[in-house]
Amino acid sequence: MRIEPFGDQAVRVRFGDQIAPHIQLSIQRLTLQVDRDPFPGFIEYVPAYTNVVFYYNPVEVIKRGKKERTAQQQVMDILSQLAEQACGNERQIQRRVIHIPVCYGGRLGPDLNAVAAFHQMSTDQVIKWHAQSEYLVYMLGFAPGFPFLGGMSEALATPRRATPRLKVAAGSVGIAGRQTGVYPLESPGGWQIIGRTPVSLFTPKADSPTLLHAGDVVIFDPIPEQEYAQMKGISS
Amino acid sequence: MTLKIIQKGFASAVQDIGRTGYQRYGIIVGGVMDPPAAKIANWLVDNHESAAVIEYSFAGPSIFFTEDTLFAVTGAECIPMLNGREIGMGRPCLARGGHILTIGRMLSGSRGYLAVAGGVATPVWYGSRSTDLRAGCGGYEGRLLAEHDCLPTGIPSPYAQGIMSVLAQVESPISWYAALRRSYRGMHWIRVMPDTLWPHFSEESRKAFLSTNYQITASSDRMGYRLSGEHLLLEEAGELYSEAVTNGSIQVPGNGQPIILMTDHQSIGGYPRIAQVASADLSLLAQLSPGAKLRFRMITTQEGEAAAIQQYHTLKRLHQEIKCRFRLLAQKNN
Repeated sequence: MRIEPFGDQAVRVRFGDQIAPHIQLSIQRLTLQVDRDPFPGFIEYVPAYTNVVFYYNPVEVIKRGKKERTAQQQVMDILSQLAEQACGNERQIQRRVIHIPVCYGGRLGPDLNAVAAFHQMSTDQVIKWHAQSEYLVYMLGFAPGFPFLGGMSEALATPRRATPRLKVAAGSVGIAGRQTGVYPLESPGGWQIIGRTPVSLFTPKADSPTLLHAGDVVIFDPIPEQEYAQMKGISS
Repeated sequence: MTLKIIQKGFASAVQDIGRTGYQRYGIIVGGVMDPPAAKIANWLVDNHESAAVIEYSFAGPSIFFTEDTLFAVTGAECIPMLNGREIGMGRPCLARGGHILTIGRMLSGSRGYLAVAGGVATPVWYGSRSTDLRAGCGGYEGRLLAEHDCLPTGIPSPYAQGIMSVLAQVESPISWYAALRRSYRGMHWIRVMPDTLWPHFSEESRKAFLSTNYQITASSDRMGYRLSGEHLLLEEAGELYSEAVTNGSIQVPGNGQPIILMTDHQSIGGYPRIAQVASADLSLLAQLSPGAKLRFRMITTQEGEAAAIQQYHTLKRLHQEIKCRFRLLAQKNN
């Protein structure tokens, strides 16, 4: 564990240098602790694969803390203590498991054939490999609700499209290198699109802005196009 | 009360001090590019500093007031006209119902602010009225303002209403004004602090970064400023994972030309970062236009924090001064 300044109003707590579930767990333990008991001047945190950044207001930190020390030093002291506890803690966190129905291939997954051809597999094998893994949500970013997932089989790793699409439909499930993800909003993108979900990942009118949170487990359930159309009809 | 947009200006949108607390969901903070200027505009109409204002870039909108409205124009220098009369910047002004405010082109600086007493009252989305263009949410229908849009405004504070009745009785506009002492001309020193990868950039890169000019290019916007200048190279390109980035993060993509992330930056990014702009210099940066030349100067994070706290106190004193002027104005009335 390492704590570094990130500019003059944030610090970064690093738990390692690799993408691994136990690192995500340490990050989540730390952020849960700060949720329960926010330190003076705390604004928000942003978790990522190997580290988490805490933003704070230096004026508030000093007002409610010590005058003779910098706000950054005070925040680093607080977080280094909490991060030690988060590392040493063996307690498991009950992860939410979210099933996301996906209609693979066809017009909803225009790159499924290309991905299968790249790996010299059948399209059914690609679907099977993709749908049988449990994926861990490491972070959300890039767009509201866009999940960065870990856990995809190496056997499915596929380079991005040579020419990115100007429009990728909301709900598209894609592969880029060793990553897999779901586009919450229509946007341009170069990921290989293998399917689409009728479920909305960005839910701006609900209590929580996004379907997924960092630390959730995602399972993709293959559905036929008919069921996709039905679910899409109900949700829209 | 409503503000009717007659001319939209350039990139005019509803903004406030931003949407904090949701970056972990991928929702950006956004908000005004120059928070000190926007806060001053709000204080001049006795709003809370977090009230929503209209931000415009390079050219301001023209606005029709349906009712008597107290307003103030701050930020980039321009010559605002109310019904054809120059009214000056940085001071409270009274528009009568039926008046038209024309802000026009910026003479110096890039971003301007129009605050009205009571604030722009478009719906709040996750704690803020800021426009998130990429998500299509917040602000006015999640988009830039267009001709014929009608923006609702809130109720002015009792104090602002008092100022309005004083201004309704006096012929001449207010002679004092509140402004930040800044110049947007010439070469600009921007203070930076090293980011984690700083020591991993080549010695020549580090030297060039701190001793040569970088120019803001035309492909710059609220999301980031693309700079052109000496190439920057990492000593060895290791694998990097995406992680949180913020306002003022200086990213170096493969072409070696740095990009400074600005207000509408994404919550996370995967490019190597060489340095971080001091928070206190971000609002100056926000006012610079394509073509402007920058020179970076390295400071410690302690110095960066001290500069941010000093800026906070400077603004606080300005706020006190405005409140004091308001009291004098109110006494005049009695």
